[in-house]
Amino acid sequence: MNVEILKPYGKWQPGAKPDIMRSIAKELIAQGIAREIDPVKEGHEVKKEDGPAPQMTVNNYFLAKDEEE
Amino acid sequence: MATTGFVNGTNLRIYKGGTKIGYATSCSLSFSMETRSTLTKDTPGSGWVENATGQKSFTLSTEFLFSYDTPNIDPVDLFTDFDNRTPLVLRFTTDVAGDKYWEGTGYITSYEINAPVEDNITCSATFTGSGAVTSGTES
Repeated sequence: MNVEILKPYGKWQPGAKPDIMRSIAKELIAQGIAREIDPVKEGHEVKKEDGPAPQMTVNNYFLAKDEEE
Repeated sequence: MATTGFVNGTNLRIYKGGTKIGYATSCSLSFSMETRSTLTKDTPGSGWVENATGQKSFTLSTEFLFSYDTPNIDPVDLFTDFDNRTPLVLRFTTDVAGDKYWEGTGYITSYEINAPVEDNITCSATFTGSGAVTSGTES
């Protein structure tokens, strides 16, 4: 379970995000030493790029009239 | 809820004192047992080896990427454990409720840090068990 350390504990300082066994994580959370975090949302959040949405260009090759006709 | 079906090896990790070891890329647990030959001149048998059971043992090993600032057990922590000959409580588990785990005490008996040019630094550690391995169910 991923947690964020809120108070110094062992080698961990506040802000550290160790991945520890659930049983220990629950104890630390109960003692107010850590809080549970979602590693996907809080550790690897992807920032969206600003700007216009990409446009799809459709190739109408097969629909276009033949030049020879 | 317990894991079902074929279990993804990514999920099975070695924990030292409840914390994952490094940024692991592989982990393994092996058991072995010695045997005692019961061959005597009085009981030569049929030519096939006959054995009695001997001592059981286990080893855990892992490979992981080197990082100074991992919040997991880091390479320097493991060196300290090796240097101090610290007995470590090790658990091999998915840490999912309902799944089985194996746990035992062991010492680091082999530890290697490999630093190739233009590639990741990798570490490998082997833990040799002392005493019995217990198996239980994650709650």
